[in-house]
Amino acid sequence: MDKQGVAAVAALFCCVWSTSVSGQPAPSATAAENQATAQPTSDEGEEIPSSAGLEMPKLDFGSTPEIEADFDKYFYFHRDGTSFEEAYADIRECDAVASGSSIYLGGDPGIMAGQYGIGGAIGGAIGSAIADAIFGSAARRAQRRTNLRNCMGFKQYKRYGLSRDLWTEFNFEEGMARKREPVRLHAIALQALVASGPEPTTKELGL
Amino acid sequence: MRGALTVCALGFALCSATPSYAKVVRESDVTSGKVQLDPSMGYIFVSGSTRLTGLFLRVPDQGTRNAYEQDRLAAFAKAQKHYRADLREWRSHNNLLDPSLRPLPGMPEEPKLADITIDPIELRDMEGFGPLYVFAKSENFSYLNAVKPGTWIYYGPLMLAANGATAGECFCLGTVRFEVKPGVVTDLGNSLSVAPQWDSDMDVGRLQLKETNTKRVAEGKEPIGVDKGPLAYGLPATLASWPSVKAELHASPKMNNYFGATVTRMAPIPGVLAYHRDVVVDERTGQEIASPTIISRAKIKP
Repeated sequence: MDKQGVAAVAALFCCVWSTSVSGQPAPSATAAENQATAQPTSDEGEEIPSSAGLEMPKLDFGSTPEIEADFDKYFYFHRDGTSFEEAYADIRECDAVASGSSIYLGGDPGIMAGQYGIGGAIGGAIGSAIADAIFGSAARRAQRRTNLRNCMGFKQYKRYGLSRDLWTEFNFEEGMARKREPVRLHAIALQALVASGPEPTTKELGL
Repeated sequence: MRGALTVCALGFALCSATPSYAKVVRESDVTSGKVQLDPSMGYIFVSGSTRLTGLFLRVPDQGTRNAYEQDRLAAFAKAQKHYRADLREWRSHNNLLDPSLRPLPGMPEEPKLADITIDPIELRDMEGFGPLYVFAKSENFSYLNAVKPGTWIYYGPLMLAANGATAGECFCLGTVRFEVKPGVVTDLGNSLSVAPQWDSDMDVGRLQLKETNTKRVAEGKEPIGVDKGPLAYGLPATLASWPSVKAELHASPKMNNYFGATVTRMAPIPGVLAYHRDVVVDERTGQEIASPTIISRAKIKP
């Protein structure tokens, strides 16, 4: 395949991908860019934003069975005695290890953990490109949620449910496509504000 | 479009970074004399009560680092060549374009060596095992891989296919490493499955498995996904004449999620691996192990 052919295939895939994620909730890029400001760096050279000027997201909502049924998708983390900077670093690390899901697995984590962590991987299906285009986005979003729960759970953050509307104000999902960096960083800063903020009054969900 | 091509190139690069299964040794090859002990190679032996799969990464040594740097310089030279071609094309186009009709395209940016990245050095030497290509199967399944001697990290029960697909989990958030000496079989036995205290360190997958097994037991069924039996080492009689040593496991820090897999960590192993929250602790010394800054493999969108 010549260069133009490769480019055409790439364009086709990009088109399919962007179409498939167009319905996903995302924070406002404009608002995020307006508030994202460069700050001093940490020991690792990572820019640490300031919590000054960040508005605490709304976390109060009237719970219903329908909303609670979606708590496996829409949740946030909190840990007592944690500073904003600590929470930001923790969420950044977990985001780094959780993002970039690029492979359709077709298996569930319970199956994957079979054989107590060594042999269960056999159960994972290997998806074709077409299957990936159809199912891949949902699978990647689910995998990202699992990765975040594992990573933040090991850091001993507790997990709390939220309504979808409130969740989308300071969170993002990523299926086939990655959000723009200013959008991601602003959302992570808000998540850190919540994670280091007042103790939630709602029921803890567990891991 | 350049971005799309870059993403594709990254995909191809990862696809090409598949582990070698070519050095898998089978019992029939040993008994027939087709494979004999190579004193320059090391060997990793794994066994278990079911078919297994997993991935090992070799800690880069000086030789690997030198080869990596040479490849990086070659990639830089290639980037410079492309830059010169792009620059010629840009100049010739600019001579034909009328800037009053539309803005002229930006001048190509000269590549810098510091910006050149190639495949991660950590993936230079990978060895996968299972679920196929067993060394032997009787009441147990076993696997034997011929590998470069050195320090090897257990990356997790992860299987990579040639098309870039993965199945399994990455122990990116804490795992173990061990030495492999030349001319010696390093016997892991069933330690990767049995030694960790899985019930003491829940993750989402293990939690779901526990719930599943609770239901199964209540229904009078056998639990699934539980590797039974005590910690066991030992090589088959076929390898009796091959020098061997029991693997000595050491705690190993966090790693990047190179393949976009489900991430978790190996559960604590008494005397070897522990955690202070998410910080890996070497129980042999009692010291915490510093982990590198985790970097996403996803392409950043500015």
